[in-house]
Amino acid sequence: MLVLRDLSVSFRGRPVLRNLSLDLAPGETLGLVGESGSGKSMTALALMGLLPPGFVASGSIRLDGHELLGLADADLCRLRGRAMAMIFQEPMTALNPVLSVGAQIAEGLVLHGLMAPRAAREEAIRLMERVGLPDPVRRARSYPHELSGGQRQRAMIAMAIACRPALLIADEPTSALDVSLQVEILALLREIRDETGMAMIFISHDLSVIHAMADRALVLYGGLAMESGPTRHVIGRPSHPYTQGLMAAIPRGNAHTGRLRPIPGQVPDLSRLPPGCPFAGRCALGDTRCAEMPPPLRTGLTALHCHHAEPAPA
Amino acid sequence: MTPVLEAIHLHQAYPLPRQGLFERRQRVQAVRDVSFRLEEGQTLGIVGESGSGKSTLARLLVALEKPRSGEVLFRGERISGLPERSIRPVRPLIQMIFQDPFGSLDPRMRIGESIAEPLGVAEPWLEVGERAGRVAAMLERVGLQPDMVARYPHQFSGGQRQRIAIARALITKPALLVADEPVSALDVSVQAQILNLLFDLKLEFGLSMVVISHDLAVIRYLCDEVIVMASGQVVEQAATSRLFAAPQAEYTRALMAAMPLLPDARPETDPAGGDISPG
Repeated sequence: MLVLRDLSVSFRGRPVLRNLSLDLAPGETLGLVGESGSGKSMTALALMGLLPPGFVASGSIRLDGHELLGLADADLCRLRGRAMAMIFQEPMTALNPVLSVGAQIAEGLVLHGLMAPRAAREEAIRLMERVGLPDPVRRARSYPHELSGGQRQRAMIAMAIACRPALLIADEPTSALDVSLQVEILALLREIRDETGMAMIFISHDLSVIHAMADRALVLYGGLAMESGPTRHVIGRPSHPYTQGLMAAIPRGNAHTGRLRPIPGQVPDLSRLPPGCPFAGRCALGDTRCAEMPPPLRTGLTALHCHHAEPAPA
Repeated sequence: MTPVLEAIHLHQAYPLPRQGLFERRQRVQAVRDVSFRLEEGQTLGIVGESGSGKSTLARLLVALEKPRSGEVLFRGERISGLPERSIRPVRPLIQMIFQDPFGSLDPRMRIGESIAEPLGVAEPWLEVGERAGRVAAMLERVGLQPDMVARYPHQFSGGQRQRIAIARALITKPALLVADEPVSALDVSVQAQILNLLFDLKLEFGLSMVVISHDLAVIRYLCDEVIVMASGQVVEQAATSRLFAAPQAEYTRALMAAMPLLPDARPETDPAGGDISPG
């Protein structure tokens, strides 16, 4: 359904995302994992055709057989909301503060010509009930600032699923929420995905959230896919030194009994990436070849870009 | 032995905006009847969701706020509800670091000056050379190069800025460090560095620590004892190992159940792969 081939994004000639390829089937969830500057949000924006000015995408993004890259903005507008929708980390900045919540949820239905305004208003109330907003008839007239953080995130989900998109991109949808709210929102997204059969790209820095949500995981670092494959293998049996390092850096016990083994160094500045592997400078296996030559793709149980590590046999 | 820090029936409340011209002002109880003792060299964790009162409690503990009632004792001496002048002598001994070091470092001050600033208050008699020497040694101890003193905060990454904030907090050789969400804003691969640094420094300096976090994994890693807060109240208090092995309060159990768990990563040793019980 969604096919990405060699998607690259650059800013002023500097690569922000390098040769990303992936496939996504209906009903499937892909988890994009990465730290700051890994390119995970850029991937989402490139998919939506929402790259900020100055960012240039190349390669191919095909959704249901249609090439999205190079599409005119008017054509993209017809797809956004209808074929694909996105939810963001901070609903307060993504929602329109001067429009009632109900009107915002109904807006897409009317714009895409799916419903008359009156029917869309009723559908908005039904959607608000579906996402678990209490008292939806009254809430539909509320403005975003009158809702709590969790309620706003629910309203944004209602807005995103209103036109039954085939692809939902969720960019850190629970990172600003408390843990108990996080479970609720994750459960809601899973339910809606299973109900509608939509495909989902779930973006998070949190491996445990990816583990809870995604069938497959793709680990990005410095704009390059480090390791990808079934989530339980990527997280349970990582082969790439970066994924292994990431897993070892997550606290699971007490410091007195088991010390963490952090990855040395800092997350690299995108403007100072080596031409080869972006992880070269922090990697225990890194050598001059790593810094200079882009790492080859190796496939096994997982797929990885590395000069040294071999994936576990499939 | 006298505990380093003792909270005795602490209460804090803030007035809410008046609902109507003639309505009585309502108050929100941010902290309700919190008591604990922190022994020398120990680390106490305070965990809770947003709005549970943990940051208010932190400000009370370092005497940045006066409690509505109750007392905070530092080494047996009351530090709560005193005029600033009387607290000033103990201030260098009680330091705090925050989630966002960018907010706590003056952007127009070179980091060397930022780190040296508390020394000017705590040990004003130090000569310029001695001060510079202390700053350089501290920078090196937190894993930065001493020649970085002339740079400004924006020239550092988030993890490096947290190291700078830690250097500034520890330069006066405090007895107590209160860390409010010290790693929440950091990338996973950098978080572990800062957690280890805090743990090592605690042992090295004989520090007592209060760590505030919403993240149970961070609390479990750093703390000897944990207080679980909800709606301003302590719902459970226990030794870390006991709390995680057998949580008693309903709320604690719900909080733990809400944490998505990761399976253990055992890269080479596990031939079965996949579904390993969470650890």
